[in-house]
Amino acid sequence: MDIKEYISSGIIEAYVMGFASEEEISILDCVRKNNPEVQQAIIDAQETLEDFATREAIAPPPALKSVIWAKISNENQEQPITAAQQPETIATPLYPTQSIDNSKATLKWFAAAASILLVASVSFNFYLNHNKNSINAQLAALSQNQKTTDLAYQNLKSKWDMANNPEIRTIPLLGVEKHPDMKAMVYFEKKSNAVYLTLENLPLAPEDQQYQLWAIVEGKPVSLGVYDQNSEKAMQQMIAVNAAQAFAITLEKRGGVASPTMENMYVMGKV
Amino acid sequence: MNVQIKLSEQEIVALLLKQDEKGFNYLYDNYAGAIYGIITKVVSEKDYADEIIQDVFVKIWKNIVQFDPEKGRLYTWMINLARNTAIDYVRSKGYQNQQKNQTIPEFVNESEQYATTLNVDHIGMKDILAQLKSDWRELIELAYFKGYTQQEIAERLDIPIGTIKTRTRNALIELKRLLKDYR
Repeated sequence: MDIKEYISSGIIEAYVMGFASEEEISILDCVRKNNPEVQQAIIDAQETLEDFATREAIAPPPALKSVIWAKISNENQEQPITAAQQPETIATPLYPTQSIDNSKATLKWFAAAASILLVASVSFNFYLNHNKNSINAQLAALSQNQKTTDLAYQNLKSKWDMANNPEIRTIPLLGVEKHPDMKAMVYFEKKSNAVYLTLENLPLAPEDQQYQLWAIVEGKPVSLGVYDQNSEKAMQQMIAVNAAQAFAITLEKRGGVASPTMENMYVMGKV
Repeated sequence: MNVQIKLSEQEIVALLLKQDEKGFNYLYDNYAGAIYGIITKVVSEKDYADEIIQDVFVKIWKNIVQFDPEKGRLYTWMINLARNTAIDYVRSKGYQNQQKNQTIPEFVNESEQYATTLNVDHIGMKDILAQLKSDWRELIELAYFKGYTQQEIAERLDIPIGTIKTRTRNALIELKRLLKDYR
């Protein structure tokens, strides 16, 4: 599909109106970053909806403004007490109240001061350590996040590249009777006979089993190898094949088998 | 805020991030009408709309840090926040129970009261959606104001998903043409 067709398919409108599917959204989020034409089409459609909102504006009851501001100010005050304030409150009751003998009093005073310092220092250390831990945790979460996003982007990009390459034929494999909603995609490069596979929504296979891809050549199944679901790569290269009439996927024991177990077929698609 | 100054979206966001009351005032004075308009298209009772608009402004205030200018403009972000908050409200159990318990006379009263508010602000203006072809209007209402998925719309209207998309596109193109006269 070229970009003009993509834009005029109505996908942009579905996206800005909020009813595009999750898959469509993630593809479009990726495309808009790399294609100014698509980006502009999105902005145009959003502007139409903004103009619509402006045109259909209705003044809310005047009293609401101060009610809302009061609510917001309230929210702002409800922020939790920070850890840094705590050492002080723990330390205060330790001050001596009376002195009997001068030297004893001084000693007492020192002891009190020392314990205040100790409490303060322990608390402060605790606070620093706690802070450090939470920053480390945040950092780890962020970098994990970044990794997942990168991976999703790479996987989407390889699909997108495939879909836009005129040398590549995309063959959807659809669920057979037993698994009606399942879907996988085969990408077939005419020149080199290379075959790539994405599993789309096939469920995770049990530990001891794997999905195996088959090509039907002259009416007979030929194994194109198994798909590794432990890999981070969504699109995997399979064994090349010449003159396939159809592709199918069966669930087999780990490592694959010589001939397909027909009752374990999940999806198939004709070339 | 009697003097009308025009702030860019970037300036508004900066004010909001600083939690400046001026930011709230500007936002409210310039956008409350549009936000209230959107909400009243989703819920049909004034009391609920009054409640929802409070939530929406609190959410804008609290979530402004999550606003990403790369993904679109502030105005669009706020419209969608208002729309989604209102749709969530309509779908909540409490709202649906209240609707069931509503006795008929009360219900009529409320919608009358609401209709007066609508009329005051709409003097001389015809509903723009009413000028669209009926199946286009229906689509906008289901998708945009009821928050239905394309699957749900396809089942309800008994048309293929591809048709929903092209029809939505045509509806928006026509809406854009109609709105040109009001800009």
